[in-house]
Amino acid sequence: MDLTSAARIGQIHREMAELCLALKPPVDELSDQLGRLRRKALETGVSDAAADLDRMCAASDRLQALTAGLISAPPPAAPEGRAWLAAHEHLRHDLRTPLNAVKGYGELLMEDWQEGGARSLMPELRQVIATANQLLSMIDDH
Amino acid sequence: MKILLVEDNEMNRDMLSRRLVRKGYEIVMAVDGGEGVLMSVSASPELILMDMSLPVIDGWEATRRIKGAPETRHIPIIGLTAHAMAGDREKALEAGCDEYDTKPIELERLIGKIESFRSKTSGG
Repeated sequence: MDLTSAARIGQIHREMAELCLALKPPVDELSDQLGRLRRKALETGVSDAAADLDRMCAASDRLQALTAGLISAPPPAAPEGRAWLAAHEHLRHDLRTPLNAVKGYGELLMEDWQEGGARSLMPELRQVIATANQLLSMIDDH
Repeated sequence: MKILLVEDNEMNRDMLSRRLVRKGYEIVMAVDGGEGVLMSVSASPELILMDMSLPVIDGWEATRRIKGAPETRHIPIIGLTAHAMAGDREKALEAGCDEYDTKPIELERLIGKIESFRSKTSGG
């Protein structure tokens, strides 16, 4: 591995760790917001949304695990550098994918909940979508 | 309007198909580029939504094959990618996509693009 590649790997590693450190507070907030929304939905008896809320929670868990792993991962040793770089080329895409799921299912539920008894859940759902949008902007802008 | 959605990600497929069905579209689905090419013939869709990052045959190659076949080249294809990267749009249009959009999907924007093809194909 030449020095240019080593420097590039080091730079990308630092950038991703910095990005994930910045993402951590809103990622944790998103997880809490989804937990509250899911509990309130179950209490309210909105059982037909359970599967979609489970998918949103699973996507949020994946995002949390991914960001935590990137914050704590040590810089790759030289022999693994190239493989690491290849695996991390699509990292922003990997971070966006669970957020797109949270946003998409959130908007789907928003359409469902415009009318009827679930309307009381709309403030929490709007918060979830707003946090997902904030995280998507952070990933694009960083 | 019958739309073929070619998308490998299960959640994206589920989300987008449900939202489009609610808006009155008939949706058939393929999970990779190869199946997309086959279904462009067997399902006779009026429009194709093609994710470009697909396994087996990617969306660019699937688009080239669909646009290269006389029986399917008339079907409008809207390419979808997760990246808002410069060059992706040109790459999709070069492969033969008639339109292009990025994820996360803004449903109203996508429907606007879908409907523009309905008016073109119906001559309106």
